[in-house]
Amino acid sequence: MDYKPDEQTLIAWLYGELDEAERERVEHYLELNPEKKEELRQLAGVRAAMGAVEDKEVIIPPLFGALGARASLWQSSWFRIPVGIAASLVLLLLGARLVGLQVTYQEHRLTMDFGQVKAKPLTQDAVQRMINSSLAENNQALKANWEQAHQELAESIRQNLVDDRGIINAHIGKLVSQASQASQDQIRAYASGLQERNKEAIKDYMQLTTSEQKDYLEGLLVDFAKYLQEQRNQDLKTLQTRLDGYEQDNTSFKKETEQILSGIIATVNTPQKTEKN
Amino acid sequence: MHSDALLERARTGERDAQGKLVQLWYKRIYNFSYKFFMDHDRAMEVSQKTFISMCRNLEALQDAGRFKSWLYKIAVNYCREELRRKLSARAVSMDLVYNAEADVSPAWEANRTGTLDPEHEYRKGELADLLQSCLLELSPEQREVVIMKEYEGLKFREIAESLNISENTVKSRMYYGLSALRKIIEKRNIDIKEWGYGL
Repeated sequence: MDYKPDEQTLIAWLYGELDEAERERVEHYLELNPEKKEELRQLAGVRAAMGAVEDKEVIIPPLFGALGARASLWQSSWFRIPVGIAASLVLLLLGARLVGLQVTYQEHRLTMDFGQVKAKPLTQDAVQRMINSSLAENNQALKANWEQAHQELAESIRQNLVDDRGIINAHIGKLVSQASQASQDQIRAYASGLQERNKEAIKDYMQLTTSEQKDYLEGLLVDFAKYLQEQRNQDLKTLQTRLDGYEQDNTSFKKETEQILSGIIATVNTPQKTEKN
Repeated sequence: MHSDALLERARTGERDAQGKLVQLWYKRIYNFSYKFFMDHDRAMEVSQKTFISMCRNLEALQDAGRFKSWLYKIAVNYCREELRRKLSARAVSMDLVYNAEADVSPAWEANRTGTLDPEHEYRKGELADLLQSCLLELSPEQREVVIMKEYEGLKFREIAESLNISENTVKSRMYYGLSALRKIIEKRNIDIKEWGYGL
């Protein structure tokens, strides 16, 4: 057997990618060809040496790193900006509270004070303004109450209308059902009338057909009777004719017989006269 | 390395899933490119182009089971494109002259086994660089196959799909590539026996 594996087979054997049968054949060949075996051993040595070359570590560039890594909540801008603004406001409020800052807006003037605000003495104008503002507030309150009462009244009317509508709808429904009931009664009466008429018609039809059949049968019987009578008459005639014939024949026979007898007698009597003479 | 569900989500255009795929595969593609060029900048260039192309064309991938060979196919194409540019530019990579990573890289640090012979580790790193430079002396066709088989762990069938050649051609290139490497190592008088890599 002249088996010689090619380079593809040898390299496949070197990498253990041959099936069992092929591998045994190659190993048998190598046992018989030590120089080829040595060559493959050297190639295996090269493989082992190349294993000393190890992988390099690499840092993935930001373009690709950001694709996979989810930005943490703290790093996202949509979270950091509002949180920053909220924190600033809290700090401001806290600071204002600590220093006793008070902000007021009166008579189109914005004033900021630190500490307690001193109360100013009241003037006539200030009192008048207070009274006016009080009246205005009172008017607004009355107006609000009036509006509320108006809304409640409108709501009540609306509710009553809804309820009445319900009652009206119920009445309409009742009338409709009565009408439908009446129409149902009419339909039933009409149907029953139809049934009666149909029954009468069928009955008349049956009677008519019965009388017609009877007449027809009677006619048939009469005709048959006539036919029989005619047949009988015919037969009688035929019989009569035959009898007449027999009678004639008989008469003829009698006559012939008489003649014959007469002749015989005559013949017999004639010889007797001759002898006497 | 990735799950079918992740790949399916990435194919639908989900950015998070695509980013996750990049994170899982970037190191592999980078190291494939680095071994091909022994140049960090070119390896990064190829890797970025590969993954940009992956994100753009993932929807067109018909068979999700062939993602690995498809990804390496893209990387190989960009390596060849970069090689054509390299041949026209004829620039010399500083990595061949001085590899700072050899001294300060985390890989070098990670290679330290805590033995009492740092010189041994240093020489081992030098050997690795020498062996890697031997790869550069192979033809690009053989180099692609050797790297994909020896370092990326692809099967012959997957390599054939990536390079769009027959499996027998892949095996031939592998055979002759390893043979050529043996001769290059001998020519450079690189003594690998002391590392237990007896020829």
